[in-house]
Amino acid sequence: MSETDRDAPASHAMTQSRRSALAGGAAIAVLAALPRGARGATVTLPFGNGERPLVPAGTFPQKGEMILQRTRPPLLETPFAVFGNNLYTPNDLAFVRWHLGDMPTSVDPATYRLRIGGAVRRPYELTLEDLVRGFPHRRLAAVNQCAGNSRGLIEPRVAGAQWGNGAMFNAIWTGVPLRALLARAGVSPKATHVAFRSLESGGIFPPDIQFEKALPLRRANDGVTMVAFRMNGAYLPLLNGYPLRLVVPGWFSTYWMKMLTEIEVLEHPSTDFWMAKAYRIPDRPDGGMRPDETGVKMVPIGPMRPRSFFTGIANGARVPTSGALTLRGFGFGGNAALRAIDISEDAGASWRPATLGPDHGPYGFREWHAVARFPKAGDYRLMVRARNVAGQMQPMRAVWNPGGYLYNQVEHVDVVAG
Amino acid sequence: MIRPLPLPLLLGAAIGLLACGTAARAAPADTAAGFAKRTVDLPSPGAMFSGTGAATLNRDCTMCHSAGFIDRQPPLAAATWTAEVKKMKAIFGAPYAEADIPAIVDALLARQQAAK
Repeated sequence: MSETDRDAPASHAMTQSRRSALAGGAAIAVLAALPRGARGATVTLPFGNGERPLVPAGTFPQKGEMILQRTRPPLLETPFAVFGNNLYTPNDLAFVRWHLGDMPTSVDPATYRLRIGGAVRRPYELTLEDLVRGFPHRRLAAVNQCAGNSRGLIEPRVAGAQWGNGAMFNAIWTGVPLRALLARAGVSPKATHVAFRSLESGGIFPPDIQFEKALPLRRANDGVTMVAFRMNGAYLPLLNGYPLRLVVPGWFSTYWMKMLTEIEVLEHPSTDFWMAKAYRIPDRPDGGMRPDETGVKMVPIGPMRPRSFFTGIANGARVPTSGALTLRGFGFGGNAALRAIDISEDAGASWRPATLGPDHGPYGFREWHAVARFPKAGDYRLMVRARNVAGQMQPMRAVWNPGGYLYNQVEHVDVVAG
Repeated sequence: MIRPLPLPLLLGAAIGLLACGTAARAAPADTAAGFAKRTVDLPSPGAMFSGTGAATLNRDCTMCHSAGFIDRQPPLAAATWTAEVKKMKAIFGAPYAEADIPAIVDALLARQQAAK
């Protein structure tokens, strides 16, 4: 592709003094400094055609330096080094993903309403003031991860946003449990699902399209799913869903509806495109299939699986043969609490437990560390693997499905001792 | 490597936990009065295509999404591109005719080939 084809944002000069940056996960080579002159910094994600602009802070509103996946509608990836520096991802560095070309750019709290209706006895609507003052609050730490996080690493490659490992972030969410909102409405005994809609609606051309997602009623009513109005103690950045965002701890981000305006109780599953056609995976325990299979029954994606990462060490790093080195990173359990993180210094032939850091609840990032020694000079492949209390463990090879979802392959980093 | 939460945030969390205990009596900061009207400017739609296939793709694709997203895809088969182009028409209402779809797919494939 020629240089001019890149969709670096045009309304902001890309004056970037920094000429190199670290990004990506543990399996990622040291990212080259790629001087591009006036075009600004880039990062190279570890897959074919993986070069991306690194746009300076302020290029996108309320956003810091981000990896540009798409300008319009915005897809912005969190540079991986951010996770090594922050257990809770700063709001201005949280990844961004919108679907419609005319995504909303303005929110007016004076007219904003949250409507609760459908198969309920008492439909009602709330102002932001009503929501915040009228219901109990809950706070919890939770990872928001795109269903397609790490899609660029999936082989064979599939269409879609070619993310590295940065389509995720960890935050403390403050909000009102959805269960309390549904209780006030009085859910029909025949209800089975709850649908969510937002200001992201319309589209540029007819027919009007509405971004809609739906949860099974049991998940919606579990007391953990909430309508959040704060992220890490602050109001949400507009690009992350200001003023209200559904938070579905343990489930992929596609359900975490941004700019939430409508909650509709259903007596059937949603038939909307985003549930019936998109964001679907094979109806199998591992969610995978062979690329040449046909006729596989597909179902909506839902729960996340465990993942774990190294931080602060890159492929090709030299490590000393004398003394000890403390390896570090973080992990999360997915839809169940983390049970253990194991590390291997011999490419997975043997494993031993890492020491877990403080427990901040079942749904957020948790730090780990492990002391390693490399007495013999030579090459070592380090691996890290998470297990959760539901018995799920990261696989050595990611599953494949047509949407490129569920990637959670064991991460590795190659180091040289001596 | 991982820094703990900054102190003010931890204090905020502690206050929040207290607020949880008192149910509807929210901490003073948690009032709608704090919600401000917010309007943002997004960067312009982004550069158009140039080079292979540009005329077709600028006409039929960039009205909804920026060009770079297409250029950042891995090599994709004709059937995959066809499914994507059909989806853009069927679901998102892209205003090209069914009859135009093969030419759009050809332009995408040619562009991909030229990038190799």
